Amino acid sequence: MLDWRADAGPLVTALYQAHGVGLIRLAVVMLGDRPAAEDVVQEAFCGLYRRWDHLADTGNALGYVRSSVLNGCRSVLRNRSRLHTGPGPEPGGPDSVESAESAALAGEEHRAVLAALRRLPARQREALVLRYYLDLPEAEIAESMGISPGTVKSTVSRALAALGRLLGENR
Amino acid sequence: MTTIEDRLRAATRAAADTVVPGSAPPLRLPGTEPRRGRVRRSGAGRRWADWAAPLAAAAAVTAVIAGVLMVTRLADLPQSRPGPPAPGTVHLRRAPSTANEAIPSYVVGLAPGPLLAAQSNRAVVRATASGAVLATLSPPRGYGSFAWVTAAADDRTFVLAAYGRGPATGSARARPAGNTTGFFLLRLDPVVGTARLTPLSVPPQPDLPGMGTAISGIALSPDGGQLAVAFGNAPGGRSELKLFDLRSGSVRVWRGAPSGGELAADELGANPMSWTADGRTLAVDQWVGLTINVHLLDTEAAGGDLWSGRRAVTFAHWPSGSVAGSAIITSDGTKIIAMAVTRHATQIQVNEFSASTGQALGTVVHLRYRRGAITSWPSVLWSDSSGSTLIVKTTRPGTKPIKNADAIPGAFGVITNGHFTLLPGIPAGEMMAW
Repeated sequence: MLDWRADAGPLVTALYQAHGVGLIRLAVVMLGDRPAAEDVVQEAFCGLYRRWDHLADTGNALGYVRSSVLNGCRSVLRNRSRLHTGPGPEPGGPDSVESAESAALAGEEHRAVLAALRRLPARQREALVLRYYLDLPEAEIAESMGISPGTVKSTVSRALAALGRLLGENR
Repeated sequence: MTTIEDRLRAATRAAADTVVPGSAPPLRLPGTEPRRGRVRRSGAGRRWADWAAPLAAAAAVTAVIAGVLMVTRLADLPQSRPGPPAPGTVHLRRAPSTANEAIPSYVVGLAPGPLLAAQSNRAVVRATASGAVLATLSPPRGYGSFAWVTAAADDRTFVLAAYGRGPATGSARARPAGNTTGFFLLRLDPVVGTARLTPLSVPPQPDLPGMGTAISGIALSPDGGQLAVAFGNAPGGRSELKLFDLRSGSVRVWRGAPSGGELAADELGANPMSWTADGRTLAVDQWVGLTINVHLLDTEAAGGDLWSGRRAVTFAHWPSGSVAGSAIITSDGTKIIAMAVTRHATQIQVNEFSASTGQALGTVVHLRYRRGAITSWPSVLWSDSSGSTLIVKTTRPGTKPIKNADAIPGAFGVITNGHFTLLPGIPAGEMMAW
């Protein structure tokens, strides 16, 4: 009898070796935070491993884990937002990890754009990151986000307008 | 000139480049080594470390649940946790007496799904006034999630759209080839104390091949006799509206030209359609670039061109206008009401327009905010006959500006006599129907 876990371990590990950095980068863009990004990616691959035997199309494993990473980011952001509304540290506070990331960035321009990006609703942010960072076609963005391609189009359009507004541009 | 798209590409890539190749930590799969808790990493401030663990734990739990759902969604597997069979009946608790008889007693909400916000794994019936949970329903057998909810005018009848493979049919128990959206009637009977979900005669609407659902909204007529289903991107790249007669089972179809814009709300998850009380007019939102046109569709027509209906109002986005939320027609058919974020994002307004002439009738409410506080898009979700009482979703007044954090979902509240009153127990971020 096939031991699927023995079978899955090397495959999932190989997938991580090939795409782990790219997915951590995606999560860093979404979260602005390296440790949280690594946690999200780690858990996404663990989820893939646990469910490997149920995957009908293991060829789409990367798509599956990418969606899991987006979901994990959304969960972190949601909790961060909740924390932000109550007492306690502010995620964007001066001594938060945001500062550490910011210091590594090229300059004020990038910080301003990223700060504006992170003020968008999570799904608008996802749509922009998938479109302009990953350069995914609308169909793949739709698949990753679980919405129609037409909705992707309007969401991206709306998100760009909102981003322009936050950056003080007239669009 | 550098476009905002170029700025976005440059900034996101700069952020991504802080993660250098080869710097990913080793993957630790469950069961492959003793788990001693989360790995401590350098670079994280103490404050982050204090709250990262519970967040990551929550993310971990979510990811596991998400995995189950996502596998179902992407790999078209049978449901691992089937809900109650349809028709399904659950107990409906008695609603506390409402303090505001001007608004419906019941609301049905779809909580954001653990993987995709648009795929909810439960529908929750609540008392509008208190937010008390009165009943909770799982997706019907064969469906993994709920995607849309809409309400009739009687405060008792709702339609839920469920998403998934659908039930096995026929002697061979054949399953549909792909995912579909099925439609279910939810009937609340507070006297007997039941909430009953039964399948409608509307045929399940299949996904576009390889592209997921094209549905961008559903709207039940006030008498509960007709269901409008909007397709933002139907085959051929054109928008489509199907109007199902729930009594006869007949359907009429309106189609837009491929370049005619999209039948969709200004906000993801908001409803692009609203009915007048007589069921003869359906207001539909047409997205064209950054402009939204509200068309009035004659629902007694045989179908035809989606955008041939009279255009009642046009909303332009920046820089020539305000960023508008989805619009609604009052049930008496006299006004179109829309919320808007003003140019400097320090006000949210509720504006009224004549449905017959399109003329602006005035701003009935100004909600004021500190700059940077408005991060969720406002929408009018329910109106009384004349528009004097509204249920809206908006950034909660008094919200402080936020920096580098996720947007706070819009809160639900009632606007009447120019004042906004928060609905205290209605959770922000859910899709709601009254």
